[in-house]
Amino acid sequence: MTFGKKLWMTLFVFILIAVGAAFGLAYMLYEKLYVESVKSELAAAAENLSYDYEGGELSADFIKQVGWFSEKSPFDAFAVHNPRELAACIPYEADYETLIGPEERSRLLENKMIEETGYSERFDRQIISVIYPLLDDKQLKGILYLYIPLERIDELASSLIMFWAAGAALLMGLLLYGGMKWTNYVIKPLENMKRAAVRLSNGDYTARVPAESKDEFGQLAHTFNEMAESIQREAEQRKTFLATVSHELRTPLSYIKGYSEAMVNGIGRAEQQLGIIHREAARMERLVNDLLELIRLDSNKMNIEKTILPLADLVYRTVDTFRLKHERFSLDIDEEIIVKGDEGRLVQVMTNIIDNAVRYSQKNKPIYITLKQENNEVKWIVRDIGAGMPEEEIPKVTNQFYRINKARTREDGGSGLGLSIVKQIVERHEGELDIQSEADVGTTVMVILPALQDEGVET
Amino acid sequence: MQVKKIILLMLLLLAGCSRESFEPVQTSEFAAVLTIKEPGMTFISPNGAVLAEWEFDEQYTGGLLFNKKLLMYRTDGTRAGLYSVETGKKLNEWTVPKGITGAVFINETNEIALSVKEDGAVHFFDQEGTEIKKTRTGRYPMTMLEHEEKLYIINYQDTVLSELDIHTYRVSREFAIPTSSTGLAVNKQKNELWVGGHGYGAKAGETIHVYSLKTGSLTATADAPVMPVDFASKSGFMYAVSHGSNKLYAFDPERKRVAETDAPANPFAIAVLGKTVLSAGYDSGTLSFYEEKTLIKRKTIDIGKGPFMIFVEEGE
Repeated sequence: MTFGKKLWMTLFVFILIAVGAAFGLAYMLYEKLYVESVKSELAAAAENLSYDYEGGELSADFIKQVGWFSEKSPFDAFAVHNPRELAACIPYEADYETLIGPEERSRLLENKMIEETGYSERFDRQIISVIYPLLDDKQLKGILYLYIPLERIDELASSLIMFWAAGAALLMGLLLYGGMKWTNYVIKPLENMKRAAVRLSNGDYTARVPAESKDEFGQLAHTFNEMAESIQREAEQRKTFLATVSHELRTPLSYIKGYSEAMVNGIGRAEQQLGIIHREAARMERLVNDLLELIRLDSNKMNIEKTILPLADLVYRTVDTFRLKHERFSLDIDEEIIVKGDEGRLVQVMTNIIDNAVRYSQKNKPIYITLKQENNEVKWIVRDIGAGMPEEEIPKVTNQFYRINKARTREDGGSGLGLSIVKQIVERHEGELDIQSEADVGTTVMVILPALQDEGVET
Repeated sequence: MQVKKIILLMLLLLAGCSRESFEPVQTSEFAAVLTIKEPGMTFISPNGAVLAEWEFDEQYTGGLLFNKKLLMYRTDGTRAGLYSVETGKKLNEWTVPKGITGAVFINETNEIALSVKEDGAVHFFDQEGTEIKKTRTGRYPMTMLEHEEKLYIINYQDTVLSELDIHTYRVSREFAIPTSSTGLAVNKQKNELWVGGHGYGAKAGETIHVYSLKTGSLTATADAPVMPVDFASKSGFMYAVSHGSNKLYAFDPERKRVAETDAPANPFAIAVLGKTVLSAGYDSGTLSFYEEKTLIKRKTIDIGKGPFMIFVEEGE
């Protein structure tokens, strides 16, 4: 059963209950108000009539008087004095249907009036009746029996019931029609979402749900759309990644293939060609290594083995490896700083960042390297006065294979994975990577790591 | 705790097993009034003092006093209890037919006759509770009376009064009576049978029918409105109670109505104990005492709810 049907059924049941309850309430009111008021009128009339009884046997005049009252009033009334009718002979097991039973007789003997509503065999109909005792010194000399057939009330009620039933049917029809419309309206977003999910699962990542409303369905649709977007983005990234990886691998391969062919055919200078082949092979190796690294970092498979490290030493060592490529480094190092981290990984971070700075700076422009501690944070800052980049590019530079200058790709020599790796490693050290840059002014990269708190090492 | 519970349980079981025992009545002259609404029996001395009050667990609808024993039955039951008046103990329980409407002790044969509505028959039992014989009489046999080796039975829903020979158990004669007759008495002086009338349907009986025991034919009627249902006789006087109008009537030996008085509310029974006429009101729950012949009321006492029958024991 679909949710829509369930909802509709629920609504239907509620409507039935509501209509039933309304009917019950109406009937109760009828019973309570109408029947009760008729009963009290009957009782009042019976009491009034009883004032004319003066004791002793019931006189013919009195019986006649009650008959007269019966004719003139809306009630039927009569006086009974036959003891058989009054269940006086019950222990004899009367062969005759009496007007009252033994329990009623004993109540009447206590001078209590009896009110009844229901079917009377004697009159073969539904009646409301009142029985009033006529007592003379504890002897039940007779009774006054007043009744009104319920038929009259039922007739009244039945005409009402017709209206009522018609009204109820109309109301139910309207409510059900409205309910159906409403159900459809309510489940429409769900239907949309179902269709979109089916499209999504079939690989159509452009599937979106209209999210007009602000209610839970709207919110769900909105979230669904976000999910679809991120799936689409992810898929596109994977595609781009694969395309980039193939592209990146193809470039050095084509170099190697071209130059090796030239060598085989004996064209050009073999020594230079071999140099190029070697360089491109090394680049390929680095690319593949970086990729492996990244994949391992991505899938959390890389072990970070943290030890206590004097960071200044690491900085000096790394900078020294770049002395041949770049001449001017300006260092401002706090040599006391100690962090907890994986030595190899942090060297990799520094290498990648300085490599970038070196690559985009002119040889004679200084590269400023600062290491300091502020509160609980260790800040390692590399600033160059190089090419820089537009502000809008900054968030993208940590993406894989992202390069600012796509045309210069191979000239710059990077794999486009360096900053991605840096970001991952820093994050695994509970640190932050902050990049600020301006085109043609320069770039500042700051790595923030948590300072080592214990053992009184830092000041 | 557990032990206490067990003891309590055993006591209850023992109490349940032991036979009912009531206050004994050892005087030779008393009246016993059976109440139905509050099932019980009240024993009264001739001067109106309460001798004993028995409260039954069972709602007996009728009974029979013979040889200082009470046989109590209920119309819808098949067990009848036999109690000793002198010891107040339950002596025995008889298995009886369902639908008993009346009982009489036959002095001549020392047998008990039970009228049964279910099979329209009179069942005869010996004093040990063994059924001897049954004789079909008519629809709804009820009031019974023994007189000179004959048993007279009114068939309430029939139009015949049956006369049975108490030795042969055979129907010897049938009298034509109005339907719904009840109440039976014999006027020994005039050899007459008095039959009361409850009346059929909505029409209440107002007349006592008097039949000649010699010829079996209706010889006279006596007015006793409304619904004369029970008789008592003493010293040639006949007393009738009319439960429809709450009246008592006294008739002299010449069948002349000599006194009339108000009875307690809704009376069913009348009896004579010594020189006192007793009548109980089913609705009022009272027993009234009247002087014989004049029916002057002497006193009224509360007797319990729904007095229905009066049994009299006057000794030897």
